[in-house]
Amino acid sequence: MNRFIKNSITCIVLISMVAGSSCKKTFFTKANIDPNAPEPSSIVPSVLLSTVEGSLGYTQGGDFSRYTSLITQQTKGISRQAEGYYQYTFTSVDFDSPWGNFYTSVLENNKILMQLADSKGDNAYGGISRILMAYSIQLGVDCWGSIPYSDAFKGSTNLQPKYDTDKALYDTINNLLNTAVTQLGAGKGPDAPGSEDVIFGGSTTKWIKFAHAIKARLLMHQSKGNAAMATSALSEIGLSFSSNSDNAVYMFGSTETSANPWYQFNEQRADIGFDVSPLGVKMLADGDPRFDIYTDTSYNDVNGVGMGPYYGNINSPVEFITYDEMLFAKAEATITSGGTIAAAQTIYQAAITANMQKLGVAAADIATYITANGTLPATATAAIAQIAAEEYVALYLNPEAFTAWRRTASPALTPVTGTNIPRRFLYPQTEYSYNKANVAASTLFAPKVFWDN
Amino acid sequence: MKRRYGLLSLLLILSVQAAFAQNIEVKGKITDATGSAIPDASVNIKGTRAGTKAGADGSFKLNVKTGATLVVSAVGFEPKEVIATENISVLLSQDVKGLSEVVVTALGIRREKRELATATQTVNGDQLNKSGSGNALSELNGKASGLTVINSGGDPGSGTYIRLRGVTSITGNNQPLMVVDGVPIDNSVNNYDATSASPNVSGASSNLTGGVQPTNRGVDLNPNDIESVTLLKGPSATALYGIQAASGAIIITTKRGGSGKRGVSVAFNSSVTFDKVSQLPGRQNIYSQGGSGIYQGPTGGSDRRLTWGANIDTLFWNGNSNIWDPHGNIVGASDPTKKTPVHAYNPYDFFQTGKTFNNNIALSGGTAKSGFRISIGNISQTGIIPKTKYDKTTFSLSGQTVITDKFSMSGGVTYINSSNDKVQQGSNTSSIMLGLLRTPTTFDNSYGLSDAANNPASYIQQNGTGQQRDFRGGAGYDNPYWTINKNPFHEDLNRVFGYGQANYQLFDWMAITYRVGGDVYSQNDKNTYDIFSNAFPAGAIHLLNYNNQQFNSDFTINMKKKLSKDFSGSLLLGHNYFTYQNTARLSHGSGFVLPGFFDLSNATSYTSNETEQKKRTMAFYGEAHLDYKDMLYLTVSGRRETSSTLPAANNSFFYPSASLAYEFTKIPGLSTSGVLNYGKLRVSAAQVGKDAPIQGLQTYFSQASIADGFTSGIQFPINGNAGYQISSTTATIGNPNLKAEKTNSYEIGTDLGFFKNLITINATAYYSKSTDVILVVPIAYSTGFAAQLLNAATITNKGLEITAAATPIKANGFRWDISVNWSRNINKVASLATGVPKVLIAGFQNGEIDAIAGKAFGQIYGSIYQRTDPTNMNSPLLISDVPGDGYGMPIVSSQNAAIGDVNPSWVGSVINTFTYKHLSLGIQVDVRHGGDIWNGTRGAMSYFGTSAETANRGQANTFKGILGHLDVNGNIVHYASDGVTEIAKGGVTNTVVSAYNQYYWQNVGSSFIGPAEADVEKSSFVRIRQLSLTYDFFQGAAAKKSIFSTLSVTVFANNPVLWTKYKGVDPETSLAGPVNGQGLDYFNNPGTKSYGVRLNLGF
Repeated sequence: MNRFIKNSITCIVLISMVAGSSCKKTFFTKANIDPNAPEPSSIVPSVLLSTVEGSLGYTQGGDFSRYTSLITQQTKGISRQAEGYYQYTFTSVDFDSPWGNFYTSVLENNKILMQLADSKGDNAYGGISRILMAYSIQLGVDCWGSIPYSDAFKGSTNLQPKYDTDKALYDTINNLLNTAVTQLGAGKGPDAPGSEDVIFGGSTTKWIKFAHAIKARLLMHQSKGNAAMATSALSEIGLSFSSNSDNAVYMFGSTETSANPWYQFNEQRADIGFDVSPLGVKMLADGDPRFDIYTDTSYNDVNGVGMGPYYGNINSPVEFITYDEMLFAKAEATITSGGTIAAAQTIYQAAITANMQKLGVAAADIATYITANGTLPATATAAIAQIAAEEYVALYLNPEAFTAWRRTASPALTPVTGTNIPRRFLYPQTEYSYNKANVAASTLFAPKVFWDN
Repeated sequence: MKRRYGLLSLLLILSVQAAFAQNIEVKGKITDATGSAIPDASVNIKGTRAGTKAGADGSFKLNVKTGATLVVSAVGFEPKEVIATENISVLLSQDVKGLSEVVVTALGIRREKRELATATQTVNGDQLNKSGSGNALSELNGKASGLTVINSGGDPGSGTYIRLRGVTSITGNNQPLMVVDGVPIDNSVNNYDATSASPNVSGASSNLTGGVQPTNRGVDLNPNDIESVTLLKGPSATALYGIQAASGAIIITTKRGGSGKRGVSVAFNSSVTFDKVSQLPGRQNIYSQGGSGIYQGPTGGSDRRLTWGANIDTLFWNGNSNIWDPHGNIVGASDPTKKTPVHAYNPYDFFQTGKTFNNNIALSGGTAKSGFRISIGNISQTGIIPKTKYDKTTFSLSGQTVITDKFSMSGGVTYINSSNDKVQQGSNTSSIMLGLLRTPTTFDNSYGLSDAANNPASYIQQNGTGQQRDFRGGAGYDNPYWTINKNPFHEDLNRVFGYGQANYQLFDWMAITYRVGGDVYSQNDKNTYDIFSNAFPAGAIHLLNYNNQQFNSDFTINMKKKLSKDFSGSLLLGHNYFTYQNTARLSHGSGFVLPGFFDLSNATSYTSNETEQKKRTMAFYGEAHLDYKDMLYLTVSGRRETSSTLPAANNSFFYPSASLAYEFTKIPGLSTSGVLNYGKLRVSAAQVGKDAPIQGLQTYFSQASIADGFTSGIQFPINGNAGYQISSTTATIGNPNLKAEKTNSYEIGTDLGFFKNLITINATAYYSKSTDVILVVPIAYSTGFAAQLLNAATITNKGLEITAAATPIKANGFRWDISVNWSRNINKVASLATGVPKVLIAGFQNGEIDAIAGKAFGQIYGSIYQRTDPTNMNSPLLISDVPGDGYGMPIVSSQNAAIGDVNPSWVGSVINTFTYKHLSLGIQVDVRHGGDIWNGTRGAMSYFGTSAETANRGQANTFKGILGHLDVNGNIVHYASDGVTEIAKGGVTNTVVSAYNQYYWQNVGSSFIGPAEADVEKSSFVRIRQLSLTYDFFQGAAAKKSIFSTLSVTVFANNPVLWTKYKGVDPETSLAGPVNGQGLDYFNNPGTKSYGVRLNLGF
């Protein structure tokens, strides 16, 4: 028995020696490191900025644009989910994707960009990041109302972020923009944006103009019957874009993996018709020269007419804020702040012209269209309604059209089913599942965004 | 499982020498077929009581007269008579009869079954080659209790999901470890769903709803090389394997050669199998393409995507053949050009008879001290879907030799080459079934051609555009004939696995063994979509290369000693080292220039992706076994494991197990009753665990990409700019504090034999609780991330497994054997993570498979009808009182709920074998009772108007429920009599007469737009799994007169009969493939039933 035990011990020692020779600590831990991921320390702002801009362009041009254009009847869903959405059969699950892309790909990555830029003193990147954050948050607020922000982006350390009220977030956006403008004026820092900034190619001047355009939107959204707000809006508009070359747009690439999201949708899904939408029908009836730019009557698909070249090509832009929107805002704010209809009409015509020039409409066609549609009615209310109705055409596929319509009730839209047109997005199912303590109940009609009450 | 076919007898060797009749000292060595020593064997001189006992190293010395006959016997082996000579090697073959059978347990340790206290079940190799499919895993179906086997579908080379007992992991692997000859082999699914919104190159993504039927690498095994498969069902049985076998283990022992009397023996078998489609969803053949009762043709309006058109009886062909229909355009009865009445086409003509040729030849033989076996097998299969193919060749070589009395070696190597042509299935517009089942009754995908699969006129518009010919005029969904020609998916595999082993008998009571083995393969997939394919209209190509390698080393010391008169003991100590590496590389090209040229150079843009995963584990383990009077057996084991996937501070952990077996019939007098001849009670307790997913400790930056649920999205670099991301909707936060999962398991069982083992019953009850289960916990996106990795969930499983066998009749050359397997498992996900009620396993936005806290793993979750009490699924439905299309119909709720449970309440099988002289008839019947499946296929077909259900269109109906609707705030209200004022809660019972019309089927009655609840079906079935009739020419003595040792012919049928209420392709179908998310049917490719004939020949 003794020998048995002795030999057993000898053997255990033997095994340990065989195994022990390869037992350095890192032998195990090193094997578990992902060799295909860059070291966090090697990440520079430029590779995050391209991600954030591309993600924002794709997210807005994807679900946000499809949902809002279907709700506002700029497009018409003629099969499958799109057909359901067109008839307002949205469920919470349908908003998981836009909300998810918005909070993760766009905002979380942007937050990391902001922190990285600030830590390195890269002011230009810091300012741009704040402007993109401000723009995105406003897009989220205008669609959902109250959303998490101050408590968000904390990963595992806060799994149930509280919601900031929509009104408070408008102040947050304003503060972000103020800081951004200061940062952009303070010198670019050691690392400056360049070609990876697809929106403005690193031009801080243009980014500052974009910041003011967002501020103008903030004010315009709250300006209904508020002369003071409209006056403030006018001054922000004055600091914003001065031509179409200032437009804040994301240009997509010419390959299938960098393709415009509407192009992708029409190639891969084709559930949405363009000429058959109430907007398409109206444009055809009006002889609107933009009809052939918005739609493609030669497109051979089951849905008859496809999307036109300006927004539907593989490398088409997704527009954030453009010069023509600022002009329409200016025309409206002129009236709201007490200016004359005549003054507003000049700006209104300039807005239509800017829009059509952006789209490449021939000068003669622009003139014809303005002759027919360029006169504003005499009363302020009717004039604002007409401005809004034209802006609705100009804001084609831009989620801002949904906001403008809710704000002005123009153009008058007939509900596709039931008696109400949605006034907001539903909170997503993931929030109801994983942030139940904080997310409020929501339907497509209530609660409304604060400026919509 | 009884082993009745004596293949092993081929392996016997005899060493006979002429001798003089005088006393000699015989020095002998007794080994088993692997060359391992058989300890404690008895050596007796025939006809006397004299003899001796061999030592622990199998050696013995005995003085006998020359020419005397020795009878060598050992527990668990068949006794053998040998002629005494001076040096003698005796090779004993295993006793494969009844309860004294020896089973291979963890680490290849052979134990007498009577000593075991854990649930194991062995399936003999010849049971695994009955269907001609060449897939050993799928053949296990129904042959053991506690075993779940689900084939993804009937496509050649498709995968097989396999599970022992219940699920213990939420987002990790639940499939058992596969071990071949003591070395773990890979059973991964290397799958890439190009059509997924967020394709994931590294194995299974959570949303496997498109692509081809995934293959798990376990299908590579050649069943002809398998001697036996032992299922180690619970943690007690697998404790020695540690983390890898936390979900059980499948221990595969391959056949080996020994020296036979004839020197070399040859076994040849060959089968031919014909496959037919098993079951297809019912279609209506009354209504035409179109919508709202009006016919629309392939070039008509937008309703041409539907089959809600006119009654076919009212339609006529005009006889002017065109590219869409050789019969001409379809016109109405009043049209003057009308010629012949329209009849419905049968899109199911698409399927063909699949053929499988399965051939295998094996040579085995050897000398007194060595043996070898060479086996070459080929399976060549064409599927029921044209152009699908699978061709697998395996080559295996094994051998063993006894070098000295103390030293023996063995080894084996298997090479596998396979090539597989698969087709698209599931949720993608190039899926075969999606296009086929949505095809209207009045459109002929084949264009009336007899060889439509090879004639482009069926799938390309014959007008020079190159666009595809489908029922939507080129758009929508691919014509199935287009897909098989223009969306090829080809997979090539080269794989080698094998091992080498050396045994050294250090002392008579102690032996050391070293075994090293590896498994290396490379899988190359090429998946192309030609221009005008609807999934990638611009054309796309995906090249995938997976390289997998794993190596395993075990060093063990076996000690065995008789401790006293009544006690004997053994001790095993071991060390294990395991390393794994998987590299996946994807090259994706899109935007083709030249149509029909399936090469990467033809693309205009490229992205590529690479992942590399490594893992290393090391363990020390030991097992002590104590035997008291051959009636009480105690086994205690422990394993200390270190894994690279865990943080340094927590990466080593220890798992103990203990088991006790008590053969109570050894109590004097108990077994002499004549009824109960054998009885054993066993109890065991064990702890095992699992480590973390690879690379789960950190949050990594990655190449940026983004997609929503509708489009394929964008991927960086874009326009020459690199993009990296820390987060996306699939990003998981790493966890540097992970620790190993733990499963505590307890089981109790009994093995009983009645009437001299004419009836045997084995029953095992078990309970296990898994804690700290690691899972990818979804979190609110507002945290900035999609998920985090946590030790969070708790899962329990309890169940009962019963195996019974009997020979009711054995008389006059007639014999009837019956065996029954029955099992029931009750799984409960006790908790997931704080604040997390459910976790997605696989599926769709509206029809997903989830883990839900408080319920069994595998709940179907989706949208439901609005109830009058939303908290009570049994409360009446709310029926719409809003005038319009949905008036008088149920309303779809905006809330989702659990609507089905995929787990059956029990499964069972009955295997009968009737033998009469040369003939034997085998019938295996499998039963699954309970369990749900989501038939999304039917839902979509109802939306499109092709399902059989929609033949009732127009039929009036009053839906049961309470009238009302939801107001703008989402509250249940109903209209007052003025039709405007809304009053809280539901109103009166519905009496509105509505109809099963197009609106109903599109929005209310099916899950495509309507509620997922509408398409949850029961998946219960009874099916004849196998039916076989064998004529064995040499049953009895005939063999000795022939040069052949075996010759038999079998005719067989697989799945010939199925009784089920399930209306889809097969109640045993799996969209996601061999992964956790079972229970989804969404345009799955159908299953097969097959008929064949097999020849077995040995000489």
